[in-house]
Amino acid sequence: MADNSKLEDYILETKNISKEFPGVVALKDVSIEVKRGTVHALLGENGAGKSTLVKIISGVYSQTSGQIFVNGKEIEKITPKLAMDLKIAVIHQELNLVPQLTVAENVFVGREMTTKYGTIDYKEMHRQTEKLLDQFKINLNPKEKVSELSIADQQIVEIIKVLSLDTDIIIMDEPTDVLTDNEITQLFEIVHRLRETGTTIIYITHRLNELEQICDDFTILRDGQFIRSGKIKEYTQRDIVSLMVGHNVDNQFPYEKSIPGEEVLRLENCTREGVAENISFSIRKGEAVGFAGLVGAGRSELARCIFGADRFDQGNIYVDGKKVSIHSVRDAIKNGIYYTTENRKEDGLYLSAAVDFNMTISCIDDILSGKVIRKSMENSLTQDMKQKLAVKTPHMKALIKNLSGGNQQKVIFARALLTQPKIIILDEPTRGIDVGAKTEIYKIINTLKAEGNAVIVISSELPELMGICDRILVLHEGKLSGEFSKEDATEPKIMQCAFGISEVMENA
Amino acid sequence: MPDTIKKKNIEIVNTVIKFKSAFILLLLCIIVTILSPRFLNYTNVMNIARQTTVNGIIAMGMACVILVGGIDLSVGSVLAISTMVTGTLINTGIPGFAAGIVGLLLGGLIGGVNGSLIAGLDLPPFIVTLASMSIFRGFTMLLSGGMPVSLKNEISFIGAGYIGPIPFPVIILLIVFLVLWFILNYTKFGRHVYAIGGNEQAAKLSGINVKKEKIMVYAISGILAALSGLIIAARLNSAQPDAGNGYEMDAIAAAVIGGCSMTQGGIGTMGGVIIGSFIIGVLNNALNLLNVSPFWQTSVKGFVILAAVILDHMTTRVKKA
Repeated sequence: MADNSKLEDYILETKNISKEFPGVVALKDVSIEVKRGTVHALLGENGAGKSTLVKIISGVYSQTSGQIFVNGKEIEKITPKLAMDLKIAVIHQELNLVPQLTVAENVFVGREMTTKYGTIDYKEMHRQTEKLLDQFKINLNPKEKVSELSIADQQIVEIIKVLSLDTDIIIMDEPTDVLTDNEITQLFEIVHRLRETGTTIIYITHRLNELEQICDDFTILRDGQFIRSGKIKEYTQRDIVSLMVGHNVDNQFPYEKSIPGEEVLRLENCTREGVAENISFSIRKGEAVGFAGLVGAGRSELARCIFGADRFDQGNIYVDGKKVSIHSVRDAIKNGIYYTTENRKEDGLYLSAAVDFNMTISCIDDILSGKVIRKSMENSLTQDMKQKLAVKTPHMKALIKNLSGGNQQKVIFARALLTQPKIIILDEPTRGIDVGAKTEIYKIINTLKAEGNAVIVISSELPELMGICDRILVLHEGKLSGEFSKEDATEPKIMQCAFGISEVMENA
Repeated sequence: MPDTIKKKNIEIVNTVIKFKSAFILLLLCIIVTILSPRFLNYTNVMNIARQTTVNGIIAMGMACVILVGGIDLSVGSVLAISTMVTGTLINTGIPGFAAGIVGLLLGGLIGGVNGSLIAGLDLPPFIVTLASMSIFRGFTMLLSGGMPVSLKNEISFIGAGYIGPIPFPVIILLIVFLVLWFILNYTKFGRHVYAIGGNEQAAKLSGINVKKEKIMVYAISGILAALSGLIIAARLNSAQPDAGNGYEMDAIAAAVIGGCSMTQGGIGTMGGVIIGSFIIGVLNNALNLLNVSPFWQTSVKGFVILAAVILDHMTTRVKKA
């Protein structure tokens, strides 16, 4: 049949795949076509829907609607087991190895080979692992313990583990993130070899310069929607960046310009090994500065160092022009710095405690009379904050876990404000918050500016940063790679800095 | 409107859930009163109160440790070594009062060392306190040669005295309760205890010195274990080398029955713990009054603990829904 032969060309197709989570549409009508035996790049910004799509293809999630075809045959719902039968495998970003076991044991974990006596056949496992390692020209000892390998080698083991399966489609989720240049070359050779043997690879990466080296085709997603597919050769990196970023700037940002006052915070050549490198910048009163960058660029890590949760190895911090030493969170708070975390539930909230407890935990010193907490003062302070930030809670003794995400975030803001900070660092302040509450958060940021605070906003949503910040600093692999005023900032320019494409540096 | 009725019902249910251990204690007392006429009289009630004192005081220290997400298995051994040291000092001619203070300080010191190892080196509390449980039981045996040491009636009042109609140990229990209740509710340290147990990562980012506060908590547990040791020894007028053996279990049981959560720190109150220890006290007393075999008593206690945990699990699930 003619129709069939046309389908045969594609090993994997999705048609109008949508995935909804309560309150969020993660994917909407996404259709992609992956040709057999190609390396297909899946591109998009943080939160564009790449991982959701991968999880649907590998059977972790099932789609809300839409069809999936593998080898031209429609598959209703892929389950993890079915994915295995369909010869689809995923190499995850995070390592799933057992550190106490050897390379060979990890490769065959869960499907160990046995001798006729029922004991583990180490000889055969070592032989097969050796064969795989030779085939892909990897220099590792099958008998070595994984815990003794470097992170990069561990990543290679993770890859070998998948290669030992008989697979038709391999999905690689940012595999080069932890690899050094040498190992990347090694990985690319593996990818080439796999393609020669007819394996199809779906390759997710943030490093655009890798595309030309190993990818044939690409698909770009943005905001959960399909944007474009094409041949890598026919597009420049800049084209791809602007497609990823899009140009839909709707005005949900109640930005108010403020007149910045004196400098409140300055960093000079601050370095923390592996996290931040030679960071220097300064912020003035009444200014909101955004930190842009890809996930893993070191934005939160930098903020944690400024806040004393971690320490810089080198460099100086000045508050109000005076050099300060910050060795702990308490030091930072004393110097008027406060940081609100990006993971509210994990390291922000005291979920089993009440709203007022959550508000005053960082400012108890200010409500003590002698050694005793003055409950009346605590009441009035928390009531004031409730009014000021419009926190919706039945009463101050309500448990915080019963509040909405937006109101929980406001309570954490209140906690920050009660320490009377001069510099407030907000890490992903609108993550997991609905649109209405987001605008409220932006208004609070305006108020903070108007009251003379310096605000640092870390966000993975570029439109948000461009909408609310006076200035944007871009980080790439722990280094400042660009700086833009509100007027100069465009998404393509920022993204190019975030990806570390150096030509645009002079725009900074 | 049915909505307001529903709301009211939910409120009633929530109140019952909140004070469930108090309701259980009340229910238990009513049942035992019906079953045994000897239960509700002055002598027996004071008897229960006095017997509960020792476990109650240890349990409150244990509860503080559980609140910060830890556990202290060494309380029984700390109790033994500190009373043994007190007894030995008394026998060298040191006044009972001073010897008692030394005992308390020793308890605090051992607790502090436990805490330092747990917080400073990030070792698991279960293992650290298991080790010190063994270490200090051994030291007690070495110090005493396995023989009881007489306290020469120096501090008898602590264990056997009365103020008006109330046994002095019960007064101590009350004071410890009030002090801890105040500390947990009205001081910075108390807030920090709940914060660390509730979310240790958040506590660090809130500017709390997590290590220092944890060490303090273990020290408090040590001091309170030593204090109840003094009460027992004073009443018996002798320091016993095997005193406090297994007491950690009753203390943990009282804390858990009183609403402390072993799976998540930061949950529990001193009031709950007192009620928890009285539930165990009344239960023991009732089983005695009803002539139940002591072998049964141990099992029944186990069932009650299990029931308390299941009840707690179910009611927290209800609240989430």
